[in-house]
Amino acid sequence: MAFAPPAALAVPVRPGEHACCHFAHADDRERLAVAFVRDRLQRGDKVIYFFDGGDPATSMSRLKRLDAGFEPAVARGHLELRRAREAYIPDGRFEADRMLALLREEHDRAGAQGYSGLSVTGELPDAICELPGGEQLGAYEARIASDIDAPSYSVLCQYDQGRFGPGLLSDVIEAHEVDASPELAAIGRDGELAAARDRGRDALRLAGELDFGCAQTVSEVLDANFPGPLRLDLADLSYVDVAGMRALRGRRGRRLTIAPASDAVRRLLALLAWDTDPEIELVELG
Amino acid sequence: MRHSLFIYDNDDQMVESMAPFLRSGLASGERAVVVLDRRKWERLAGALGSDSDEVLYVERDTFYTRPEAALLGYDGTLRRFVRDGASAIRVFGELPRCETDAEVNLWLTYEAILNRAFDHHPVWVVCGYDTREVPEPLLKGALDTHPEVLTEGWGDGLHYHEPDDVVRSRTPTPAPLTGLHALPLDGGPRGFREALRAELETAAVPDPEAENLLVAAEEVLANAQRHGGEALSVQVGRVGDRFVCEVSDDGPGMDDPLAGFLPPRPGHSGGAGLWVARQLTRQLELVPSPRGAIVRIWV
Repeated sequence: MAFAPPAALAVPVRPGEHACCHFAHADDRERLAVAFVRDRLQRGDKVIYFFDGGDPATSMSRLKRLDAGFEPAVARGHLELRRAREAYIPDGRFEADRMLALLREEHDRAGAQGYSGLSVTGELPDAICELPGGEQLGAYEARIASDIDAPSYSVLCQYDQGRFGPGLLSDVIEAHEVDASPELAAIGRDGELAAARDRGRDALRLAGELDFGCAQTVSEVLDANFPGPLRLDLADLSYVDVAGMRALRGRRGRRLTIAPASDAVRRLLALLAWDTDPEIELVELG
Repeated sequence: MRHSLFIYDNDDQMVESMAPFLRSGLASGERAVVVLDRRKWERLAGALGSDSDEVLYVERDTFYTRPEAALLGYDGTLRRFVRDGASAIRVFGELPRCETDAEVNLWLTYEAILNRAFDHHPVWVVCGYDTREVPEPLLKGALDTHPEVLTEGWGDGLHYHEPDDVVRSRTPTPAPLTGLHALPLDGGPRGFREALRAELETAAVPDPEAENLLVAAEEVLANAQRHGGEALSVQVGRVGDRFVCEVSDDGPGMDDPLAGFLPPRPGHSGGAGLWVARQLTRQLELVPSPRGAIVRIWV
């Protein structure tokens, strides 16, 4: 992956959430994973990154170089890079209960060690679906969130569409509260803004900074994929300018429900007359 | 929109004309707003009796802090009334006391801008000018900026001048500034914000002014990039106890003296960037330049 990450990377996944990312390109998935890991390390979580494919030593050394903070975090034990197949299919079979117990144990240990929580990201081992126990995958994913339902437990599952059939993938997506779906990948490419679907609230979440530099991309993605009224979660939109606000309305001035607005959004609402616009609804979430 | 001038010499005259003006609006189901000093409002409210409860009163000096704030305040009020079903709104207001030439010019530019700022709202604004308080130059200027004057009845103002001309002639020409230093622009909008944030921190500009300047500067920069040719530069620095940011481009130049003074309206997407910049800063100046435009903002 060849990009120099800016000082802060946007993450559309909040503590306590179970999210998936099935962007089409590995670079895009990895960018989001790096943002997630960096964010969680900064919050004081213990982070586990499950990687698959290739020679483990090469993979680990490549992953450590993805961000300046990763090598020291690994050295101090805050970040663990682990082979996915050793965790998921240690004896060539996948057992949902065993994997859930492993995660629970890691979570409890992280708490005991003084971390603010456990965050997990990574890929599944290649061809896990074909192995014994592989059919439990959907049910396993469905249990992840309910197994430990706390802000101290955060999971971002990366899915390579190529490895999973569309049927399995859609089942698996349904098990996740937050979905970084393929059409949103372009929004995250320069790192300062990220988007994901909040499946429970049927809202599009935007995190980070939306300025005239990336407004055009946002406009294109929204116009192509969200033609009608749109519910937006902008709580984590730390910066937005007029061009960004216009990109949210789109070329045809779509109806918006902003639930909720961030301070950056609020600063512009009255100035742009959105506070009296019948096409815009503002919702405060308790 | 109607924008009318009402000149009077004493309180009784004011009440005799303005009470019926407001009462007749209320009787037609319109909304009414009064912006006056408290003493005059109490006289007027006395004459209106229970009708005064229907009038939205705002104390003059809290409302008229600066033209941009008054424009924002009026626009917000009018939009809310219209959203809530008002068929029309009547406003009776008086400018704050003006002593100096600078204050007279400032508030006359505001009067000129009013003629364009609310022409999409169903509003009748009557501006009261009390000859006991208003200096002669302000009174003369009032005739230039109101298309309608109340004398025997409401008549056309024969001295009305186009708002652009009034604003241009009454806006002081900013002098060049020295001692500023350049901000790098090669990092895109994100890099620009980081660099500007660092400058604001070094200059100890507190929030919310610092964050407001950041947004305003970005809007000016976006505007310059959209309209402004190739070479773009940003200079910043402290001047006295203020922080200033100047954005220069070498595009076609900005010749609209009302740029950024008009509130956004439905269906018109242009111009909101400079409106936001004017609202979020202490002042926005268009600095003369041989080539292109220079926009200077202060907090």
